[in-house]
Amino acid sequence: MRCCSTPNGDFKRALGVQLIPYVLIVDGNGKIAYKHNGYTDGAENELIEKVRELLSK
Amino acid sequence: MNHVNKHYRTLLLAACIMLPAALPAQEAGESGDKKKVTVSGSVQSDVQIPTGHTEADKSNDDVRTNTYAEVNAMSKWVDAGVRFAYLEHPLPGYEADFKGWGVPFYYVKGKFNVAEVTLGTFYDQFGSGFIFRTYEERSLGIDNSILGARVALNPVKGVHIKALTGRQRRYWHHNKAWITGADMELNLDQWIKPLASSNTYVTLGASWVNKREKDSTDVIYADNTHILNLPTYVNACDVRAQVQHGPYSVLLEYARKGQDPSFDNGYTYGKGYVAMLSASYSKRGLSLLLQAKRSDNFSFRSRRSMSGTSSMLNHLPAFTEDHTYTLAALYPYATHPMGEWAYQAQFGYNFKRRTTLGGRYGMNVKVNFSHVHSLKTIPTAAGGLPDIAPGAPGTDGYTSKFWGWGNSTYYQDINAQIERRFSRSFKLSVTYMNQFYNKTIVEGEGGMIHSDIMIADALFNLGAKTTLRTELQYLATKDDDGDWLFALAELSLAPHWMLTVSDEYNSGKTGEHYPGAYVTYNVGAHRLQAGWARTKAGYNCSGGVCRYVPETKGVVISYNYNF
Repeated sequence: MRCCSTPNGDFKRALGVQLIPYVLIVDGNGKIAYKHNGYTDGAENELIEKVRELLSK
Repeated sequence: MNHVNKHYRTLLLAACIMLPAALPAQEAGESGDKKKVTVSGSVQSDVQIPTGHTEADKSNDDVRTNTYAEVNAMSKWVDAGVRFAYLEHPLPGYEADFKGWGVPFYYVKGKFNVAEVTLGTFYDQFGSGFIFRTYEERSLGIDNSILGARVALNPVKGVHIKALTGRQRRYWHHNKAWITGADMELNLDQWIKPLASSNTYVTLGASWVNKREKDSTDVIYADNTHILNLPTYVNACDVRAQVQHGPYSVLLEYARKGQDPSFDNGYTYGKGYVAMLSASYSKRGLSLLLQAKRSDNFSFRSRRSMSGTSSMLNHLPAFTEDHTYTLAALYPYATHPMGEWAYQAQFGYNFKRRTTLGGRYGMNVKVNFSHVHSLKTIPTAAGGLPDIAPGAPGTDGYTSKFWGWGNSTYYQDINAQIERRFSRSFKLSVTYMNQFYNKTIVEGEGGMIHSDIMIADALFNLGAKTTLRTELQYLATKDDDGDWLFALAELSLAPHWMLTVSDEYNSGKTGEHYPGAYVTYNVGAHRLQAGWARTKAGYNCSGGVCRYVPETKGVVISYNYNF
């Protein structure tokens, strides 16, 4: 896979992200539907719930 | 592009997850509402209220804070942004001139068909950053943007050109030197069809940076009757080639710099060099990284008399692992400004689930080796001036053979980590490390510290939304302050709450405890953390750049939000 590292954190800066990890879910219309700042164990359940909710729309 | 910095790798992962969905977004935005303005921004505030004796950290401020607020507006043709920083009573351990408040960052960017023009402050990086990298790293107090103009051109497919000029920020002022630079990158696979059709990507890059710094500001004596004739112009250039084919990737990069006598190199006139080879192989479940780098007299600042973390124009990527576990990061390596040979090898393997070694849930193994060694140098004599010692200010400093090794090991780290889930409710990760840390080289004194470190990180899923994570760490050494122990327990009540308690204890010599307790509340893009901690004096590092942090004790509040 050829992927998408942005040298010097340009992408991170454009989104105003300060803490890593940072999770975004983008819906089919290209809108940011969910943001999660930082890391909490078990927060992945919230993530999958959100994805399911968006898929059911 | 950059295999080196851990932060990038983390970000890379995050970016990969979202990009396939994000690409149509851009198209929709452009073809749809052309007048639309998107506003984004962030707020970050870290507050410390010291308790007990405050003399230890040499500060009498009752409340200290590093607070930043940033807003960016983006539209089809124009972007603009501004950042406010309040650092008038900063957290302890930053350089004296860090203190202040104001608007250190502001820009307007015009976006045209093939060009992008920025006026104001900006960050940029050429290649791996050997001759130019400006960036913001708040934990280190680094924000060395350029104030001036920048142009980025994409005249034809596969050609990227950047040019910039301006002065570099040093805390609340700008250094007098003018910095000018240009960078070009060619993606050959965009023109040579057989490359693209065989899934081969070739990128060639070249860049150049010039510093114009008048010599009148510094008067350096070589002996009683001679002052140094300091160069007004310093030039540096960089060339690189990267080839990616299927799972293989190879990056070769070389940079050199002209005479640049500075505080860092003892006001010597030798030229500077960096050479790097980085090769990686990566496929599902298996990765291998091999790297070697030789840097020689390559500290490049916008002010020759500076030391410390400010005024750096370039960045030499770290070739040692940036550890996050407390005791693993107790003796962190900082890239040596004068020169070093650095090597790194990393191997990662995933044993598939439902195999003998993988067990029911699979198992990850990671091994990392890094070694940093001194260069073999011979001091150069000052021709015709017998009073000046070889290698002293005014001479060429030293000569060194490319392949030669000096007598000192600066740092070495061999570590192995095994991560395995044993059941639905239990996951364990164990790490062993063997480190050599040359304290004399990194900190100025203290000799070689050889340590063995063992870490067990266990994750217990107690319920659908309740997780307990514990860390036990032990560092054993006969040197310095002897053995250390660290324990941590972190209870997560998803999706919002996290409770953390920890203690770092020196069992070898001082018997001191450094406890901490925190509550974290997380909702969407907001994150609030509050607690109390005593932290030991030590170095805080990121990407081979380190900042000394004195001992602190007090209430800590941290708030982070972005929109």
